[in-house]
Amino acid sequence: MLDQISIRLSGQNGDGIFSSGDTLAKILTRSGLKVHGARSYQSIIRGGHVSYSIRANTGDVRAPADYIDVMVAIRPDSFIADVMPMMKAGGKVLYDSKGFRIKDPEVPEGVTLIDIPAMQMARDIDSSIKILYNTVFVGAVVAMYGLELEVHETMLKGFFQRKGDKVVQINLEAARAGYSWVEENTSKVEHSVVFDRSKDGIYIGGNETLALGMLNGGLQSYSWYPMTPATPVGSFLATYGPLSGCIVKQMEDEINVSNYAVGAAFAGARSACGTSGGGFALMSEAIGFASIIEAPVVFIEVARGGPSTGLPTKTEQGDLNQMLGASQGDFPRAIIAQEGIADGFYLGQESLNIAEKYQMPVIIASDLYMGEHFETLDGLDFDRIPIERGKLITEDIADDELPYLRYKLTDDGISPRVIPGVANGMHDAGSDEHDEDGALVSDKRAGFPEAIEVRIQQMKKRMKKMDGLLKELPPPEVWGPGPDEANLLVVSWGSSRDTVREALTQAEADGVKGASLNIKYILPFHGKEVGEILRAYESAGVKILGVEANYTGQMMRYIRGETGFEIKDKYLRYEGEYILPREVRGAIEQFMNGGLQQ
Amino acid sequence: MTETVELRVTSKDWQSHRPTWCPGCGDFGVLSATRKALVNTQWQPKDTVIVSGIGCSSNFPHFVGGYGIHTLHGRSQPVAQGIKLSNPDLNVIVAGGDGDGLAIGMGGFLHAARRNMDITYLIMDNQVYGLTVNQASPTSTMDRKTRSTPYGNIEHPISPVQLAISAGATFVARTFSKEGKQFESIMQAALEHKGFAFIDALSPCVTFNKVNTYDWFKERVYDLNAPDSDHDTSDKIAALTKADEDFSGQIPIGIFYQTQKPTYEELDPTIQKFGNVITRGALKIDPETRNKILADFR
Repeated sequence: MLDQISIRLSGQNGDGIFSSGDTLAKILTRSGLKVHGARSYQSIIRGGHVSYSIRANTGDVRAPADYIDVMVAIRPDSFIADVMPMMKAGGKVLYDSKGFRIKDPEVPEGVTLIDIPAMQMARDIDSSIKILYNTVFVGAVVAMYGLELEVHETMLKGFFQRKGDKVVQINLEAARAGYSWVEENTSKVEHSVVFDRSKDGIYIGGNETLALGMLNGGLQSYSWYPMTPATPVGSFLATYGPLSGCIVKQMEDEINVSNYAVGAAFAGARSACGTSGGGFALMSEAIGFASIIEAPVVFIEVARGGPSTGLPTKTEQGDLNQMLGASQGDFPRAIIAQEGIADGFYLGQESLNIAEKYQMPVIIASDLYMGEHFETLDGLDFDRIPIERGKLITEDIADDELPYLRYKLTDDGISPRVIPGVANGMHDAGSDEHDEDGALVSDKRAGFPEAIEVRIQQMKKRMKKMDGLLKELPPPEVWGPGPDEANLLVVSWGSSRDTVREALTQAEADGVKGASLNIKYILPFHGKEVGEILRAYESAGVKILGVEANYTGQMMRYIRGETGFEIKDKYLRYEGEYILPREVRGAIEQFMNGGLQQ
Repeated sequence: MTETVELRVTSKDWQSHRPTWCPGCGDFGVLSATRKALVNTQWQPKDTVIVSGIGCSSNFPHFVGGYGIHTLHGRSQPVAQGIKLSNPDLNVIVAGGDGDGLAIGMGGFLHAARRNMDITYLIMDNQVYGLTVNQASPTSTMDRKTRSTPYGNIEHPISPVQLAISAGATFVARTFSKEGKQFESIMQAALEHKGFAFIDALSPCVTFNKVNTYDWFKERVYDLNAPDSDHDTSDKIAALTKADEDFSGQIPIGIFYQTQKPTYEELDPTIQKFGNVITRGALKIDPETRNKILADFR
């Protein structure tokens, strides 16, 4: 008897795997379950190999499934790429031996093959719709798990409505055909998961929650250039931004995307832009520009596998060094990692507040897995985070308050910020070093004692903002047992949080008492607190393991630089696939029993 | 941004820091004509933003009243677009040099022109990189000797006027910094033109360009829009033809091309629905829109 639902649809581009996966995930969500959905795909439009993995249960599901119980294997490649590595005894594979000539497929021992004539059934219903077979397969899966056909039918009606009644009818027939075939020809999956149709969660991805969060945070300007895997943020905002007062501008390249965002911020808009690693490299100069003119801009970096164009459709946490090193000189900026699907919604709002309150660029560090996987959320609190704009002047400045100084030296380093259109606030925002009024000290005044003094004062003023921000940010908290009870502390960051924590939960069965420290606020960094945590666990004899998805352990190296504490043992992944809990558990087992084989 | 009684704007309102250009620089003429044109428009300095890139001429915002933003090298166009779309009520002027706008900033220039936002773009074209002390620029003539072309320039110059017309600018002109009257009237026409207005301002570098001097230009320029001229400014092909000279013979100055098209901001769906998003304020998603969005994820 299975205690969860674990399904994968496997085929190639053009088989409708993603839309079928979405349909199935939403059927499960509408049946009251929490769903985790993750896709695997390649950088082509037709052909290749794609899959959509779904894991569902009554409680929160925040990591991908370790094994697949029901596989829909449409193509011969599905057996090599998905069935063999992801299935074990008891699993069931739905496939159509005649559809794509799958002859005697290899499966792990104990896996049952169910040969369903999905292609013929689809052709019998309507031979003009090429990929109707995917609806037959989904109908079959619905029946396998004892889900209600009516929920599937409602989904299909909504999805195909705009294509007309005929298309709706055809798809309904296909779903019913798949469903009935299973009822009549095979045994169902035995599981203990209870469905409850009274719940109505939303099924949403990490890029979308980040975008939705920013929109609810009063975002007024979003600029972008298409780049996988950050594109869904732009698509979301292009669709919904115009409904909520956000101007969305696709630019000609990421250099201009980022400078557009700085211009929007200078004009007074809540401004953000987004890209992946390659585009972020082009944005580098604008980040320093935003910082020196003290313009609040949120830069989103949804990383994929590098270097160069690297692995365009695969995940990696490989851009930390780039984010830390982006743009020349020393300047204040924040770097915050997205840790989860719901987290993105609140982080989107928080990041805009930080950018405006501290008048500095804020970089959001996400990655393909974080941005492009989906989860079911019960609800989002749209009122939890207020819109905070900091020292922003939007009303005319009275004559007796003059002179207005845009870069006035203040105790907290934050100067009242005026926007164009305000009387008596006129100034020049200079990308060169400037005085309190914005006048350059880089030209004929450079080198004079007065200009040297201005430079020192302005640097100190800007950098002081980092101290204030650090005090405002919550220090990291350890999940799990304290130093006296634990025997393992895993250190990770951003998107690895939930997979690591599930692995630690699993590893309890192996005698592991695991704690997790997942870094979210990267810059400014709570170096003192993190150092104290690490030393407390170490001096209690707890073993410490770093887990991250890159080759060199960029976060562990950063932690060493900030705390002086070296995390020697690391489980590092850089092949681009999202990490499974069982893989982390395996690494933990090796580590606890003597040594990690990398 | 409250309503105030606005007095007549005078030249004094457009004064700012003292220019730091070399004595005799062509940009002084550009500055003086621009200030006059700004007075003629009666725009409020507080509602005007001057955006520049990097280079001698890009110090422009510091020498003119109003709000200014001195951006990165070649990046004035995207910054200006971010400002204009966010707050379409602002008057946005972009100023910079030929290196800034036609080399490193070329991509931004062409896309700015095609979008036809209501922005005025002024290139102070001295055919040389001045601030880095004398290198060839995209408008340097063939054979010119500079520090980057010590054996003579072997690249053909590009035509900013032709580029602007082909990219879709709806007002395209060239003028000369010593022709104060014409400059002032063309600048005013550009400022008042609704759409992307481009001016190629011939502005000699007295320090590094010993070829294309004031006298050199004076001998060659003629008024394209003179009463006896047969140039039709609504004829795009004629404008491109007129601009197809290599500066070896006569150099037409004046308005090459002008037309009317909807501006980007008039077509933007967010601006159509909400108008000016800055004055509207940063707001949370209203409950109705929130439900509409969430419904797509159920």
